[in-house]
Amino acid sequence: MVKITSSDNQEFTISKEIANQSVLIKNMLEDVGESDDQPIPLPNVSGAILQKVIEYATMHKDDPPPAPEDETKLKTSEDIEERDKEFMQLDQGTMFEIILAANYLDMKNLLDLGCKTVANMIKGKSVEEVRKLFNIVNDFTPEEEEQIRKENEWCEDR
Amino acid sequence: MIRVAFQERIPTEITRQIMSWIHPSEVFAFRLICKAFNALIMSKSFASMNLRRFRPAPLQPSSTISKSPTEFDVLFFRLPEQYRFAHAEVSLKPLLEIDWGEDDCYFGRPIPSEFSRLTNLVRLNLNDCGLTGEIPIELCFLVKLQLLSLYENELEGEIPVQIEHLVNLQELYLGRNRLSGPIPSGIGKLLSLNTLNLGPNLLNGRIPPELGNLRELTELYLANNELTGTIPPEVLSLPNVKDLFLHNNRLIGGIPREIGKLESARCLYFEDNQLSGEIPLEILSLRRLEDLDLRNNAGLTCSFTSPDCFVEMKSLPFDVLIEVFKWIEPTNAIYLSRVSQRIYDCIMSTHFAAANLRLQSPRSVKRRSVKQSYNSDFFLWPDNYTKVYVEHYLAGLTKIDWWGTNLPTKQVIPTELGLLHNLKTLKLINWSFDCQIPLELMALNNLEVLTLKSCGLKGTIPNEISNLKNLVELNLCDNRMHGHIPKSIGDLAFLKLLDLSNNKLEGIIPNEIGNLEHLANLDLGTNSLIGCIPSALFRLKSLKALDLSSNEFSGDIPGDISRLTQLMILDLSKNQLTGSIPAEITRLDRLMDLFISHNQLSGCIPESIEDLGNLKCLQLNDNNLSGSIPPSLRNLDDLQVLNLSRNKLQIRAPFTDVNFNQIIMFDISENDLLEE
Repeated sequence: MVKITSSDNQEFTISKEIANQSVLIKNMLEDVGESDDQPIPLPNVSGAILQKVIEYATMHKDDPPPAPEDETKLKTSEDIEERDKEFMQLDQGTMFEIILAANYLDMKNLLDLGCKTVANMIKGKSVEEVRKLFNIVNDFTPEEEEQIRKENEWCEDR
Repeated sequence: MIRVAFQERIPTEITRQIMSWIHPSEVFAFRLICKAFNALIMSKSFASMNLRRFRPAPLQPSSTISKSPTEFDVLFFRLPEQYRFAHAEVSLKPLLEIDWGEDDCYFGRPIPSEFSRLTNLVRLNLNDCGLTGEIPIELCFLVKLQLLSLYENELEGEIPVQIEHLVNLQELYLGRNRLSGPIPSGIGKLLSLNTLNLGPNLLNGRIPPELGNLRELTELYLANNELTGTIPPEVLSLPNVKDLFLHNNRLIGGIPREIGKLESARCLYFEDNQLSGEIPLEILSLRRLEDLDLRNNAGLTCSFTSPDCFVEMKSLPFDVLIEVFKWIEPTNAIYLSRVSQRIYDCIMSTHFAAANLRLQSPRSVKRRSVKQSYNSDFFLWPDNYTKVYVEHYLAGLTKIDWWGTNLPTKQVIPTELGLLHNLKTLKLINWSFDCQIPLELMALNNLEVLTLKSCGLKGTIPNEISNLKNLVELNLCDNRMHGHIPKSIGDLAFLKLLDLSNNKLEGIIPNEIGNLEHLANLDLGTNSLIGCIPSALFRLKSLKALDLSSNEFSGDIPGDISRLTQLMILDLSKNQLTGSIPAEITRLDRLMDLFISHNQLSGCIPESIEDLGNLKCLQLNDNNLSGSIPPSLRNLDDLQVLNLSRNKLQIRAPFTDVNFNQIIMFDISENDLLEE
């Protein structure tokens, strides 16, 4: 078993299989050695988020090891398992926190899942809708905007 | 839900990952979100990540050939620079062969200069893809290329001079574009080239002589450009060239003799240029030649006077021989035809005649629109010209007036002339034929004048002559025709002139000749006609000149001759006429010339001779005339010629019975001269 503590000092005890899904933790465990009983601090992740991350890792603990990357198979952002979709039914803030945590913990599958989910939110939306969704301020001048539209013409003349 | 400011909370790396899951064809729209997104999407690292997500990874080393473009290869022609770079580096780089021709999925796009990243490329085929813009200079960095085809696109601009770096090229196809400017002479450095295709384009300037270095070339296609200048001899010295296409340019000057070095030549297309000068004989030594086209080079000539050069050309196809020989003057064709049986067969073909005639200037060949022909070369040409010429150049003609030359001509009048139904005049004079009058000519029923004078004609005058109902003049003099004068000649109701003199006609004059009421000139002199002077002749009220001389007519001169009141010339000399000169003859008061010499006439000269007030010539010599010369002879004021010699006239000296004012010739010798 492995102990980890969140930024707000919540302590979690998890199995090694779960812990090893994070390349960050896996590497730390290898560095400090198994005999050490000290909990591993994760100062960038809050307890609430860590809870969700552990939930995801537990859900996937019995996954077969990833097949050697089949690069010829086209991967798309639609390519998401149903349980993962349900898992990502979260508010935007939590979702981004999880993506950041996955990035920090170096959990590729979770990071991809998060990024795909956000990408799917963006796809099919207008620029204005995306700006609104993510609270982004348009910092282009109308001239700059026009220039980009011009450069983008190839997208439309297909 | 807490609204977070995206830019503040999410590091760029995460945004890159998020956006990389959006397909390249959609993601560009999101450049407009904000400056940070724009910078991100337009970065090379994003392009690379984005492409990796969506397209297959680099192909396995074993599959280095791409026969058809993937979805991303198509986008390669559309995506921004960063993407093209990423695609070239990530996906295309291992390729050795790209064969994406005949696809319109990049229609209207330029050729991505990023092809230059594919440094392993050996074959690049983008023919017939609707590509636009210029040929990127960067393509010239693909030094391993053995084949480059940009054939049949819409490329513009010049061929980059850097193309000389592609030293491994074996095949270069740039034809069917809109390329302009000169052919870079550096192409002459691509020594492995076996196919060079640069047309059709708008290339101009001269053909670089450096192309003569391309010893491996088998096909050289520079046709359908705007090339100027002369054909460099170097380009005709390529020993392996099978197909040489220079047609439809603006090339000038002659075809260099070096053409004989094109040992492998199979097709030579030089048509539609402005080439001139003599076709070099060496062309006949190209034994593999199958097709030669020199059309529309009006300046070319062909004389080929020396037969030596024809030895080698046995194997050349007929079409090639025709293509060369057709440039010869038609009058020289006959001479050329004697060189060998094969050339004879070629030149005697109708195909040759047609090709040859088509090239002749209007000087020697009258065009269809011309109604009259004074060209006399026709009979100098071989027989195979006849039909072509008659049908295409003489049809519709109304007048033929051809004087012969001293050159050898046809033996026979071509029967095809009988097809020229519009002919009103057919005059052939001084030709050395050896034939009968072709019956086919008797179908020319519009003919008004038929003159076959001094043409070496033999045989008889055809009965069918009467078919020529509109004939006004019939002149067959100075030939070798025999037989009778056909009775049917009397049907030529409009005839004004009938000249059959100086032939070998026999028998009597048919009475039907008396039906020719308009006849003004009748010349039957110098034949072998016999019998009396028929009284039918005296029905020819319009007759102005009658010549029956040098025949074998006998009997009297009928007094009825006085009915020919219009007569101005009467020649009955050199016959066997007997009896006396009828006094009635002196009623022919318009008579100017009276020749009755060399007969057997006896009796006196009529007293009334003075009535012939217009008489200029009077020749009664070599008869048996007797008695004295009528003193009234003195009243013939206009008399210029008087010959009474060799008769039995009693002439008193000094001779004063003639008004000598106009006399030019005067002979009364060998008569009975009485001296006072």
